[in-house]
Amino acid sequence: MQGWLIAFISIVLLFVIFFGLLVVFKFLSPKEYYKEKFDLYECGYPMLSELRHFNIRFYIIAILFTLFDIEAIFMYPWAVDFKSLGVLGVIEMGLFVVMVFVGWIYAYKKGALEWE
Amino acid sequence: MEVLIAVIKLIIVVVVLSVYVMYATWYERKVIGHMQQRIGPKRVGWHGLLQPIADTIKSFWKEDVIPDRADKPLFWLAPVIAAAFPFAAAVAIPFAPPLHLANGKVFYFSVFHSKIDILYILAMLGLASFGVLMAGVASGGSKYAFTGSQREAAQIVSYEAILALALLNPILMAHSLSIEGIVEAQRHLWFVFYQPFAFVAFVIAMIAATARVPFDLPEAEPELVAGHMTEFSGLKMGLFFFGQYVLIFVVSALASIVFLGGWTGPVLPGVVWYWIKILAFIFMYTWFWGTFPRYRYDQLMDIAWKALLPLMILNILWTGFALAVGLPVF
Repeated sequence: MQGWLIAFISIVLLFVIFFGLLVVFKFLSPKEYYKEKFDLYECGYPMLSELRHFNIRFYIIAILFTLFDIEAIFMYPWAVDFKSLGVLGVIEMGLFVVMVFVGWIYAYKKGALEWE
Repeated sequence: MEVLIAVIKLIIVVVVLSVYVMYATWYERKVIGHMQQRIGPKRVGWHGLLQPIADTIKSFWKEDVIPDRADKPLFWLAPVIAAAFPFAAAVAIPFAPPLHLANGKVFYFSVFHSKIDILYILAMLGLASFGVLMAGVASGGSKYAFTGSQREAAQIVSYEAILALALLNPILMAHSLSIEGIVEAQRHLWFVFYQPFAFVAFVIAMIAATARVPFDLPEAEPELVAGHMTEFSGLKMGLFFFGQYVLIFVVSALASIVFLGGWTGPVLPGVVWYWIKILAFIFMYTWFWGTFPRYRYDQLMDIAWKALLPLMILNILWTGFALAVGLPVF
C-alpha cells in the first residue's frame, strides 16, 4: 500500500516539477507580439488551410490495439500463476488465444490491416 | 519516513536523468559525427562537453510562442505529460542491484518497487503517448502537427501491443512481474537464449515505440517538419525531447533486465554488468540512426500487424505448451 502511495506522490511531484519549469520559462522568455509570428506554421506562405479531421484507418488501428493489448494484459496473470494453473491453464489460454487469432485473420481478410 | 526517503530518491533520479538526457544528446551528436567522418560538437568546452549545457540554457531564453489558434490549456499540458510519464516509468527502474543491509533490510536503488513493476512501467509508457496525441490536438488545426501526432500515436500504440506480447514470453518463464524476480530467474542462463524471437521483436518494438530511426516517421522532416512538436518552442519543445530520451533509457533498461539478465553475469560485479547492458542498448540506438534509412508508413504498420503480432502470438502458444509439457523452449 505504501508503495503505491509513493508511486502516486512521484507522479504528482513530477507534474509539479515540469509545470514549474514551464512557468519559469514563461517569465524568462522574451515577448514580442506580431500577428504573423503567432499564426500556425506554414512553409513560407500565410496560413492556407487547417486540418481537424483524421483518416478512418487510425480509428481501426485504435480498435485493434484495444483488442490485442487487452489480450496481452489478460495473459499476464496467467503467466505469473503459470505453475499452479498447470496444463488446464495452458489449454484454456490456448483456446482464448486461438479465438483472438481467428479475429486477427478476419481483420486481415477484411482488409483492416491494409494501408493504401 | 519511507515517503521522505522516496521523495529524496525521486529528486536525485530527476537530477541524474536530466543530466543524462543532456549528455545523451552530446554523445549522440558526437557518435553520429564520427560515423559520418565529421567531428561533431567541438567549440563549447573540451570536445564540446559544455554544448548540452549551452543548449539547455538557450532553450530557457527562447520566446514562448503559443499560436493564437492553439488550445491554451492543452498546449501547456501536452509537454508536461510527455515529460512526466516517462520519468514516472523511470521511477520504477533500479539504478543498481538491491543492497542487502546487515540488519536484514533491503535497500532498493529505485524510488518505487512492487510485485508488478513490469505492468506499472508498461502502463506509464502507455500514458506517455497521450502527450503526443494532445500536442497534435492542442496545435489548433496545424496540418503538420496534427498529421504527425496521429501517425506517432498510431505507431506507438501498435508497437506497445507488440511490446506487451513480447514481454509475456520471459514472464511466462520467470513466473514473476517484479524486476528482482525476473533477474533471479536468469541466474543460470539469460532469457535471450531461450527466447530469441521475442528478443528481436522486443528490440524492434522498443525502437518503434520511442519513434527513433529507422521508425522515426512522425518526425520525417521533409514531409512533416517536426511532427507533433512543430508549433512548440523553447523549453516546451525541450520537454518533448526530455520525455523521448528518458523513454529510451527506460526501454533499454527494461530490455537488459528482462532479456539480458539485468545485473547477472560472470566475473564483473553486478552494477557494472547492468550498466554495460543499458549503455549497449543506448549505443545501439545511435548506431541504427547512423546506419538505416527510414521505413515507409505502410511498411511500418505491416511489420507490426502482419509480421510481429502473429509471430508473438504463436511464440506465446509454443512457450506455454513447451513449459507445460516439459519440452525445451528453444
